[in-house]
Amino acid sequence: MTTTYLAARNLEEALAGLDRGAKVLAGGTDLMVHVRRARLYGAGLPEHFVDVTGIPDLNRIDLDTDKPFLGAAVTFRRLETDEAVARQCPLLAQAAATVGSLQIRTLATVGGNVANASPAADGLTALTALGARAAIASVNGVRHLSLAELITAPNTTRLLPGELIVGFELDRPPEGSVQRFHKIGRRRAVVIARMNLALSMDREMTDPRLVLGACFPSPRRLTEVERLLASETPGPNVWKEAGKMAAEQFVNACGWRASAPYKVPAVANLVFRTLESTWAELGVTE
Amino acid sequence: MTIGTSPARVGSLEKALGRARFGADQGERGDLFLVCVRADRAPAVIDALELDRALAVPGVVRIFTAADIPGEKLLGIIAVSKDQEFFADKIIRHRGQTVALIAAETESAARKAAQAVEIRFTELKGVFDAEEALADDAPLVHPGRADGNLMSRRVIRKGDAEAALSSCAVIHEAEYTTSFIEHTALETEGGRAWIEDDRVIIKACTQNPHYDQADVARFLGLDPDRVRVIQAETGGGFGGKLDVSVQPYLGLAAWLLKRPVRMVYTREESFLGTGKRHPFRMKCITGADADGHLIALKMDLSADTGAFASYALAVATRAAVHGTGPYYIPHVDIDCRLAYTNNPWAGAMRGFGVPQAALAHEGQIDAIADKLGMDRLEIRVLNALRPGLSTATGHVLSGSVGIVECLERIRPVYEKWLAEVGTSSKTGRGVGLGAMIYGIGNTSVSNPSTAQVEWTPDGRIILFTGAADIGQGSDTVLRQILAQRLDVQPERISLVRADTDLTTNAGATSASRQTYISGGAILEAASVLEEMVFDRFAELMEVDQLDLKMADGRIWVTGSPASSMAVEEIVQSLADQNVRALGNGRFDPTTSALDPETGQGVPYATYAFAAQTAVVNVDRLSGEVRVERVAAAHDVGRAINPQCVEGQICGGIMMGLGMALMEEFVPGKHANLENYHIPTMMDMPDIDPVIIVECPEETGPFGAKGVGEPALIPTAPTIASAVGQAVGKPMRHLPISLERVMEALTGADNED
Repeated sequence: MTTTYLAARNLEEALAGLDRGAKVLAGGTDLMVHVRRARLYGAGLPEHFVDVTGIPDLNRIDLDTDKPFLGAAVTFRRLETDEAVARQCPLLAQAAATVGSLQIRTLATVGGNVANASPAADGLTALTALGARAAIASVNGVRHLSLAELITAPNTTRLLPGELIVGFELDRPPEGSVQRFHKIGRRRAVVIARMNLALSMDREMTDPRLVLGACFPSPRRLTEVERLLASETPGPNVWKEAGKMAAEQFVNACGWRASAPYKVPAVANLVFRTLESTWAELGVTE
Repeated sequence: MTIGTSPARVGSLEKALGRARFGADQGERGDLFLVCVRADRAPAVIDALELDRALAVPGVVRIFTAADIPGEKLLGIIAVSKDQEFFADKIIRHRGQTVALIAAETESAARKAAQAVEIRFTELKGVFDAEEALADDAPLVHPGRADGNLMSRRVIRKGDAEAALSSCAVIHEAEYTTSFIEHTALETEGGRAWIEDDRVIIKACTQNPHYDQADVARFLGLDPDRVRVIQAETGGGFGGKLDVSVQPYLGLAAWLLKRPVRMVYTREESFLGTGKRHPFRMKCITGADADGHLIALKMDLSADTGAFASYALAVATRAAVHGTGPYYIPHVDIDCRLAYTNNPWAGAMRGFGVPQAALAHEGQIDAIADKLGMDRLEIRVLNALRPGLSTATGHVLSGSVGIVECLERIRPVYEKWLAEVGTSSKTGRGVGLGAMIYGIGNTSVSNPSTAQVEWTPDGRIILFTGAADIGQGSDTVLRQILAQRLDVQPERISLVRADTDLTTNAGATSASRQTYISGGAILEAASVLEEMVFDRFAELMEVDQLDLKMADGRIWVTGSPASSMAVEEIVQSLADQNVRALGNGRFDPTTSALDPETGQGVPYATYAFAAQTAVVNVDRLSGEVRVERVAAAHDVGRAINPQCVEGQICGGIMMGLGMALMEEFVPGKHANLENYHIPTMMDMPDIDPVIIVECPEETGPFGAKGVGEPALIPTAPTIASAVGQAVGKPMRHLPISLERVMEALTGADNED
């Protein structure tokens, strides 16, 4: 049996390939691990690969508009180093810098990160805070899903055979927002997050966003905490309360599992500290 | 001078250019590929092996099982504890044990067939914890064995610890634990075997070619001279390539099929099929007088050796012998027991139980210092071994004992860092200190090395050594030793290395022994060679051979350099008489057996010493630990090649950091590097300074001892001590994971 590899030059070629049952190769840093594992158990290679990383539209970073757009084949290395990303969505740049290693970031793409749908995906936590809606194409047309709609369970999505994520529409954060991404891991590189967190807020708490990853089936906006932040007078007591609420949401969602003795205090601490330092960066004096 | 300099490492260019062929690179087109079929349940009785589906996979040539072994079924590195079944025969003793071996035309056919083998089995009740295994009613891992699950035991009794403890001004009692650790050498196990002149030739990565030859020959029921083992370039070992791995399978398949075969473990197979570092549980009671002199130590050590013995006898003894650390303690009572369990087997790993024991002896001395309000460095200096003092085994040290100098040389760094960081746990930073002693060479047994040195009439100098260079640099260092001895440039010496047909036994590359022991053998070989050419020169020139000098390839009578002769000329005149200018050398360090009741004796001829200090930063909210800086002072006797010594120390610190903070192999949970974490370069601290202390060992080549394992040993205790300072609680359980730090920070740990 032979395996074909198609480096798609445009969306049409890619979709035509996918329509024939090809696997999407969008960096391959997850896919190749799965393929290798299957081969260890005696499976063959997939029959067709379609490499989508050469498609111009999937490499678009278009953030200085009212409808910010991020192509699915943009690598983490570009997110880490791109000037517009640093200016418009710094939490995405910060998240990108924590992914894998330089070698992995050079290959791995944001679309691949979402499609793989790991509960601990750093890109996914960041995109969730940015309100990303996935633009999904197939030979039948384009549809849009929020990340919460797209991802149904760990490593499980609503993507249908033949569908390809082409990119993400992002929210424009309120003027004057400060963003933060923080990751806790067992070492400093090439590590899956034990926990990650993304925060975006402004002085007026217009539309605060707080996302926690690696604590739920997929990264989740802590909407109750966001409401608390929007409704109460900001300050240390609120940060503390927010941390406590975040930890409670984790326990409510996942039960008191083996990881709880660590994660419960860590979630509370991480939320508290991130709020405190972000507020300080906003330059608000009490 | 050649020694004390750092010429380019032998083979480094080939490795940089990708031309070096490691064990995993061996193979030719047309070789059969071998894959083990491994059990995923244990313990269990094999009711039947269903091979038909696997045999039907296209490309499968043959499937081997225990019934195909022509010779001895049980192998093992230590002669008196050979118990390892390379094919499970009726009983599967640990998860991952091989039950069958597939030989196929391609790797994918072999892997597919391995999946198609069905093992029908009945599960047995197993035991997975050392202390449970030692209980009276524990299921037996090897039923019928006289000692039950007790694999090995070492008792050390010196003075009267019990009585002495009752008179101590201060006593500290605590328990320490460590985990299973996987070596994760960069190269997994691999090699090739073929038949030549009715002999089996195996070329594979290994730390121990002459042992491989002996055990493969036993396995195949052949005389050892019908098995030739050639060491392929070896991408790291750390003890993991001391036991045989692929070699018996390669030998069996090549011999029975009469075809070339090759085999390479995947990372998953390397995790399943090779030994681990022994997890230890260490209960300690230490007593000191009011001035801080250590008076008595009681230690109860137990460790899990898994389903097979491997190096368990050596590890039990090493851990016990080193239980006091580099300190003089007059009253010692140590009992170390290693138990069989149904876990994957544990064997040699860089330090043989001593890195585990070091966590305990360093934790204890820190605690005693704290209880007495003493400085942690002062108490170490006060108690440090010195010439004239005895170790736990009653070995009265003389000569090379550099621990005081290591501590004194590390002192300015430690004090500077302590002044910067302080001892308050509120800052989240801490400074730690750790020290160690390590006996060079195998414990209380003869462990000679042999070597030959030849000078050819065409001017080549050839060093024949059985020592396997596995990346640590023995090729470079041994060549430097010879170059220094013969007063020639090292580049002039060519090497014939680690091939059982061409070299004689140098013993294993383990126990930090090759520089010291093989270096000694090479010096003797050079002396024998020198005497041959001196004799001949004296004959030719009619002079007294006592006054001769040799340098730069020439020989002359002292004071008359004008009438010199080239060594080649003399060698040629020997050749004319059909005499090869070749010297044989042997060196075996002087040791004595340990008394079985008291453990008293001389286990090693010499010891290495070291002290390290570290600064860590603990994130008090997340529990993350960042090792910021490490400084190290190591007494190596003499640094033959300072760059190699520094390389060993930096690598050892990296491995020690992994042991301290993240490495923990849980059978059934960790299958590969996806979730088994080792440090990355991003986790590495600034290592500065690396201080090489040189207290020359008179029996060592130019004073050298060893550094391979000592590099690692003080690191984990040093980091544990620093984290303890940073969180305000002693850290006694490795690895110091996020969870353990959080536990210490949130006060859930009520042990103290």
